[in-house]
Amino acid sequence: MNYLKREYLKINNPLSKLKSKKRGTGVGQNIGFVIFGGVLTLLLLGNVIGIFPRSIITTLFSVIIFSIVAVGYCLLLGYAGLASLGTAGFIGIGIYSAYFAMERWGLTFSVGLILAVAIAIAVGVGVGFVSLRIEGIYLAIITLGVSEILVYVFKGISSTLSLTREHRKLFFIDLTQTQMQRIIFFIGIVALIGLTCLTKNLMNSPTGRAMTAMKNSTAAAQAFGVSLLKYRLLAFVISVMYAAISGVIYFVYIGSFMTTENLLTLSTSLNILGAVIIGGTKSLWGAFFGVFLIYGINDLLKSYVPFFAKNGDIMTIVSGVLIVLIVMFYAGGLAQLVGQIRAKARLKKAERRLANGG
Amino acid sequence: MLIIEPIITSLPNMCVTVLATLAITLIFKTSYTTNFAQGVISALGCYVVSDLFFMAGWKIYFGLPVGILAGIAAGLFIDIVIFRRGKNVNAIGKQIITMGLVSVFYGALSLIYREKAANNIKFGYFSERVLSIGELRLSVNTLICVAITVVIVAAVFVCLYFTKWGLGVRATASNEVVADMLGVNTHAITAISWALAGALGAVAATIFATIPSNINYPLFLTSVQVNAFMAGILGGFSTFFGPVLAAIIIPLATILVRVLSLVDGFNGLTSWVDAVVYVLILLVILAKPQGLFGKRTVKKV
Repeated sequence: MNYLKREYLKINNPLSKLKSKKRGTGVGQNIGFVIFGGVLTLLLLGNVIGIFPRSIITTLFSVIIFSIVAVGYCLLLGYAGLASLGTAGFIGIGIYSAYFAMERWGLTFSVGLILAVAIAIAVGVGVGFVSLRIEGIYLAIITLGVSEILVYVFKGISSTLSLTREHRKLFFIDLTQTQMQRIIFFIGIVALIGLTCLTKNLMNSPTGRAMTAMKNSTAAAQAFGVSLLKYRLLAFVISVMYAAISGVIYFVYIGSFMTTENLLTLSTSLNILGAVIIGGTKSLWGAFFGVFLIYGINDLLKSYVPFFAKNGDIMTIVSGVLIVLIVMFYAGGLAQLVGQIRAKARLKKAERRLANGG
Repeated sequence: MLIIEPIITSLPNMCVTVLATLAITLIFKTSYTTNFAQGVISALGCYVVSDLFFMAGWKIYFGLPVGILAGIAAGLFIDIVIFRRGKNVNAIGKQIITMGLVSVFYGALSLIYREKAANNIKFGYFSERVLSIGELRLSVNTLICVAITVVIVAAVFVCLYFTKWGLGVRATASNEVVADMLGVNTHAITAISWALAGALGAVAATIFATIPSNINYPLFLTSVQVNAFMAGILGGFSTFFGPVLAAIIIPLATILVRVLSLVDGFNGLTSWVDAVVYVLILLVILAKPQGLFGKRTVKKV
């Protein structure tokens, strides 16, 4: 590079624009998510009209559900720096709260939601308070144990009770199965976008900054008056809540316990972890992409490519390998890759502008 | 009598938990990470033993050493290929690496063993004889399992406290950087620790598979691993014997709670035994965060 170019780039470094881009909590931050929600709604309407088959909508639904969980997990792992393996049990909290509220007690969906959130907060505070007082790394162990106990309790419940929902009421209106599923799908989209925007705003707020400080250096954060227990507990309880909410929506959509046994396993917790890490632990879009990779593409491959249908566990191996590689060599995940590509593109654009102007 | 019989029946499970806990403590102290992949590595060793039994007719006494070798190989692979290169990963990152390894082994084992018969882990017992001492029925299998466990655990502790390797492990556990500066070969220490963990896991999984009441396929030992971690937390990771003692205390506590649930007033507890024991552990940790036998460490900034 010649002298003029070097001097120009010193003053007008295009990379410095990257630093100031992601700031503030205004509409601009969240418009992207709202547009994404709009796209999902259009896909739903595509099924209503008849363009897309049922299987694609079901796959899309599982992607939406697990994205809700992943958003909460992203906050926990990316901002508070804690790993938890209790995700499956916490989703189960939502599923069984919905079952009890709607089926056993004949109440509405909203009651189920409130019940799920209440139980999630109680469990989150209880477990978090005990384990986070020692050290952050014990959270994974204790949440693994809690999840095992919860799944054990749930198995005890579902084996002795009736399995299907009879009360297909939503806000006191009776609906058919398909109508119910479509409305719940839309509620799922709204929940996803709403919770994502909420989390994004949280991440960019003083709370989010306190969490980042805590993740980078606990000693320095404490010196600045950041209470470790408070913010870790907050992140953990939020992640449990999101998982419970997604469980409620899942149960209302599926309507029975047929798939619950496969869902509430350690694999689910590991898949969510993998999704968040592959996408980049701090990035919400990355979390969406990770979930899409592990659940969406996996389902599509299993349905349409015979090799994957026979060897369904290949995606598990792939995601495991990716987790190890990304944590060791490329901690930012996909989001970092995208960021670097965009930075290079901007640099090229600036150089081109300089070449044209100078 | 009411208590002795359940204790005897649960002895093999106790052995499994003790071995798994020892492996996890070893890795925690030398690599500073909770090894979530312990269960699947152990399962790998056990599947090798079972394969030898079904495909080549090798009895368990001959298959077990090979299984141990497989466990050692897996442990060495993980340490040399992965953890040695991940020096700049923080503690949570190492945990996540082990979680990723769980995914890899999980998927690989499911893939390889899908087509084979569902119960292919059932490779028989060490011995099928049953002794009767008075009113007690004591299976020789249990005795052999306990004997193997006691010998192995004693050997590991002797090595830890009376050999140079053991001294190196304790030095690395105390402060890895300083140990390195003082000339302790930390690479060899961690490699041997992982290999030992793999071997212990293989033995634990094999004993687990010989217990008739365990559901054996697919064998991923998640519940054993959770119990081992709980034992580690209860005992406190700052010593080696603490978690091992806790690994004996937890099954005893489970038996006590189960016996208690037979008492008329507490009948509702029967299906909640595990949850009750778990809550008790959490209460102990609430009171004493470093564990029953742990020492309080003060971090200097």
